[in-house]
Order: sequence, then structure tokens, then C-alpha cells
Amino acid sequence: MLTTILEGMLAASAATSLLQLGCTAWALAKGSRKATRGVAHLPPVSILKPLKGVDDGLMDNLESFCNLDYPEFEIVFCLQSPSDPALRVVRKVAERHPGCDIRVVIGHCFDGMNPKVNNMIPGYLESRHPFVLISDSNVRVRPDYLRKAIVYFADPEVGMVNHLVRGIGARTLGARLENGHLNGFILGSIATMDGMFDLPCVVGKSMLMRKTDLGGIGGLHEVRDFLAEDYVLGRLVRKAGKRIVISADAVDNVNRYRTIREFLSRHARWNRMRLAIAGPGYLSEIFANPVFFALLLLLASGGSREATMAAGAVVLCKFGTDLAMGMLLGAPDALRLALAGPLRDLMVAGIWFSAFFSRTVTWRGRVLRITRRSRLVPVGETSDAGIFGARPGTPKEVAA
Amino acid sequence: MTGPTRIWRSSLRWASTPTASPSNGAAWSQAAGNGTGFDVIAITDHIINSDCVIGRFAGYSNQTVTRGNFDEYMAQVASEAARAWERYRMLVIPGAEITKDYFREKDAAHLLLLGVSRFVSADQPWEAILSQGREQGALIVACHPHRTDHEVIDTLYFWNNREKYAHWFDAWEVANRTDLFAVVSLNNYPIIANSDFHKAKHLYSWKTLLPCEKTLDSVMACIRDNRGVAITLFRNGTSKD
Repeated sequence: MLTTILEGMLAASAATSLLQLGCTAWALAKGSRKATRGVAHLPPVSILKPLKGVDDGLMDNLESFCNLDYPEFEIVFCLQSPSDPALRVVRKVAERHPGCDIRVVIGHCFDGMNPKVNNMIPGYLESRHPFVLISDSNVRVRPDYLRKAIVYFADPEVGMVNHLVRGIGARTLGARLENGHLNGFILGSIATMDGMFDLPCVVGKSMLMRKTDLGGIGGLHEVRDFLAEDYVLGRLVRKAGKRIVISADAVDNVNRYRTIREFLSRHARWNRMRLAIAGPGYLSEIFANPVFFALLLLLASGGSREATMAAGAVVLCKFGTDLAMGMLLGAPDALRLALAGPLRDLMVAGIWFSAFFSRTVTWRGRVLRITRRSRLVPVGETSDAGIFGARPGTPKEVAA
Repeated sequence: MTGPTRIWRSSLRWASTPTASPSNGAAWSQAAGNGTGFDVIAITDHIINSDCVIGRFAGYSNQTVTRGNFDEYMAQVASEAARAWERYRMLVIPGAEITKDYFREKDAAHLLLLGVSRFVSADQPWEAILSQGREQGALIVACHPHRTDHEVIDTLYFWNNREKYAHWFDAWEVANRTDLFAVVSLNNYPIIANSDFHKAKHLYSWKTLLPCEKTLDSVMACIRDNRGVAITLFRNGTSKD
């Protein structure tokens, strides 16, 4: 009986993987058709870059924005401390691109629980253009990226353009696990939710909005206490009656030297966040993991020949979908990412379960509890305030 | 919108040129107002100690505000503040830079008193200076508290004695001209960035962004509270200039 149920789950899980692959292929094809359309008006854009430390390939990532083929834009680099090593990189970038409108804002903003949002608030208030693009520091783009994204705003109903994210550049096993997970599960899920259910999941790697729309929903202050500020922003945009477009012109997320521990820690946090947001819907995520069900089936059947064959076939099928997904995305290391797939899926299954046992995250020295819709509530503070001393609370209080 | 909708770009701390003290107000307020978009500046001429040859020289060459010309200095600042507001909607805060210069960097220190109204002599112990500043309700700022690229003799006294003096200061300069003092931020002290404007080129320097109303009281309260205060490197808006 148990093995029959598990066989059914295994089949459903394999079908989910294939569905994700199909939806991704469809989204990418749709995106390339859309990208060929031109647009007459290209409004000025403020690009907000929250920085914290030196990410893999930071210099190249930042320079890719300086090289955008777009008539008028400013890049506002947001930091929280002059001791942040990213500042040296920013200054180098500014030196190398004297024609680029670059501004640096170092803020002492501790308004909210989300340090990334705190980091961006002063820069956002200081930005000058009618469109704002929020883009993470580990994102790298192609020169035509902004031109392709702004096309969607020809439709006044569009309130936000979000991008699919492709992990690239892995040189360690941890980075391969990370990129494989981004390219497989994360990207596939976003494409499926958007394509099949018209439920766009906003990922904060790249979000383009009109400032009037963002101001209309309360600005960045409105999301300062949420772990998933991107999801909440998307939700508020939809609530305001605007549409969200997930652009298939995928941006690159450079993960080069990530460790296995960093991979586990990051996705444990993301999983807790998704559980807080999706509630029972989170249960469905495990069906995107056929390797996990293959293992369960093997264990439940005591390693019978039929179960072994079925499990082997499904693992092979998942390997095929991972490889196909990587190739669709043009990932140069698609084969390596796919080979790390089974290990990744088993680890991801462990992370998936772990979300049920903890609702706290430690972020820059602060222990925070994730509550409904990922709102963060402080629980306590650890002894480690981080090398930049960016401990939340007013600086005056700390000085006193 | 629950947060601030506008940040005032301030270029706090403008001093007169060394050859014209009390300040030649028109020059700097015009420089600040003319298309640069500053909302707030502070005029802070030096009040220099006379117990060292550096200070005595400044006194002989009329480069310091003294008890004798302080009222004239304040009157000029007030007149310029009215003109700057009328013409540029720019707030001008009266202030003074209490300057104790010595040949040894461990003895030298400068501090700003913003919103000052009465003369404070630099020829008295720091505790007396600080308490007189506080009595006047002035905002007290530690100037270039660490190593700089531009001072002939750095002013390290307050930094070396920060545990003794930190409670007096409403803010510390985390940036002065193009120098950044990461140590200030690492210590989580309340921050401010200042132009230390003496020459036209000093216009292009780190500035303070204040999320508050454009009034003297709000600006002072915002710096004291230090929530949301940010700094930005001013390059006439871009890195091109």
C-alpha cells in the first residue's frame, strides 16, 4: 500500500519536474518574442544597488550596469557603512566609468527589521528619476536589459517588471548546488506559477517600477519589516490593481565560490520564508523533488528490483530535465549542475523539512522571528554584530 | 507614505576663506545656492586657541573669530541666512568651529557648535567648552576625528579620548571633504558628513542627507536623533564632474 502511494507520488513528482521544464521553455520563448518589439519612449531610470560586502564578481556585476545601452539612467549605490569593502569597488567602478551617472549613499537607516530595505531607503529618497529599478549586487545584466524591461510599461496596467534569475559562474560544489537550485527549482517554479496559474512570484533580484506606483503603495517603508520584501511589494502592487510581468529575459546571478554551508543556510531561510507566506501551499513544493520520493520508495520497498528501476528512471528523468533546463538557459556548465542534481535534491528535501521546526533567522547579529507573510519580529540579539558593526537600533543609543 | 518623502541635502560646515574673517557670507551662500541644490548649510568660522604659536599667528593675521568680533560675525551670518532663504530657500545655520591646534596630533582637536548664539572661547579646557556649548543648546560635533588626507596635523585628541568625551557629542564626522572615517561608523557613533569648505573645490565632497523638515529645530533634532541620516558624495549629481 505504502509503496503504491509512493509510486504515485513519484510519478506526480516527475510530472511536476517536466511541467516546470515546459513552463520555463514557454516563458523563455514568449520572452524572446516580446523582446523583439521596440519602444519609442525610454524614460529615465534610477537603479538602486544595495551593497553589503564583496560578492562574487562584484566589479563585473556593477560594471554591467554602467554598460547599459539606455539613454538616461543613474546608479545609486547604497551602503550602510563607510567601512564596507564594497565602497572601494564602487569607487573603482566610478573611476572607470566617468560618463556614467553614479551616486553613492551611505545611510544610517535602521527603520525596519529588513537590513536590505534599510540600506535602500536613503538612496531611494535621494534618487531622481521617475522609474526605479531595484537590483541586487550579485546580479549581472546584458546591455539591452533595461530597454527590454521598460517595453512592458507601455501598458499602463503594468505596475512591476520582475525578471527570471539564472545562476552562473559556479566554481565550487556549494556554488553548483546554489546555481542548480536557482535554475531548476526556483526559476522553474516562478515560470510555472506565472504561466499556469497567473500567480507571479516576485524575486527581488531585479524589480522595475514606476516611482508613482511604489509611492502609491507606501514606498519602501511599507515593506521594511518583512523578510520577503519582494513578495510583499508584488502583493501590494497587485492589490493596487496593477499587473506584474515576469520577464523571461533572465538576469544572471553570479555565484562563484559559495560554500555548501552558505547554500544550506540561505535556502533554509528562504524555505522558512515561503512557509510563512504560503502556509499549506508550501507542502506542494516537495512534489518538485522526485529524487526525494525515489529515495523514499527505495527505502519503503526494501530495495526491490521494480522500485529500484522506477526510482532510477525517475532520477534519470530529473537529471534530464535539469540538463535541459540548464541548456535552455544557456548555462555553460549545465552538465555539471545537472550532475550535482541528485545530491542537491536530497539536501533540499532536508531543508524543506527543517522549515517546519524553526521560524527564526539570524540576520546581521539579530535573531528575528518570521511571522505571517514573512513579517519579522525581533527575538533577541546575538553577540556578533557583524564586522561592519551595523547593529540595528539608533546609533545614538549604541553610542550612549 | 509612512516614511519621509524628501531628504534635505545639506552641506554642513562652511568656513570663510582664511583671509576674510568674520565670514564673507555672500560668497559661500551664493556658492552653495547657485544651482547646487543644497537645502541646508552651516557657517562655522574658526575660533582658535591662543596658547600655541599656530593659534597666535591666526589671531595676528585676523583669521579667527574673537570675542571682539563675534557679534559682527553672527550679524553677518544672520543677514546672509535671510538672503539665502529668500533667494534659494536654503537654511543657514550659525555655528563656530572651536579649534585647538597644537604641533602634536594627539593634543589637537576641533569641534563644531551648530546653532550657537554666544561666544565660546577656545582658550579653556574642553569640558568648559563643551558645557558652554550644551548650555546654549548647540549641536556638538567632533570634527575630522581620525587621520585625514588633507590636514597638516591631524586632530586625534577626541578619538584617543573617545570614552571620556563621546557622551558630549551629538554627532561625529564620518566624512570630511573626501575623507571617510570608517572607525566612526564601526563604533556606531551618530554620523554626519561635512564639506569643511574653504575653497571652491571643497564643494565636491561628502554631504549629509537629512530626512526631516527644513527648519533649524528639525535639522538639529534629526542630527541628534541620527535615524535615517545618510551621506552622499556630491559630484554635482554625477561622477562626471
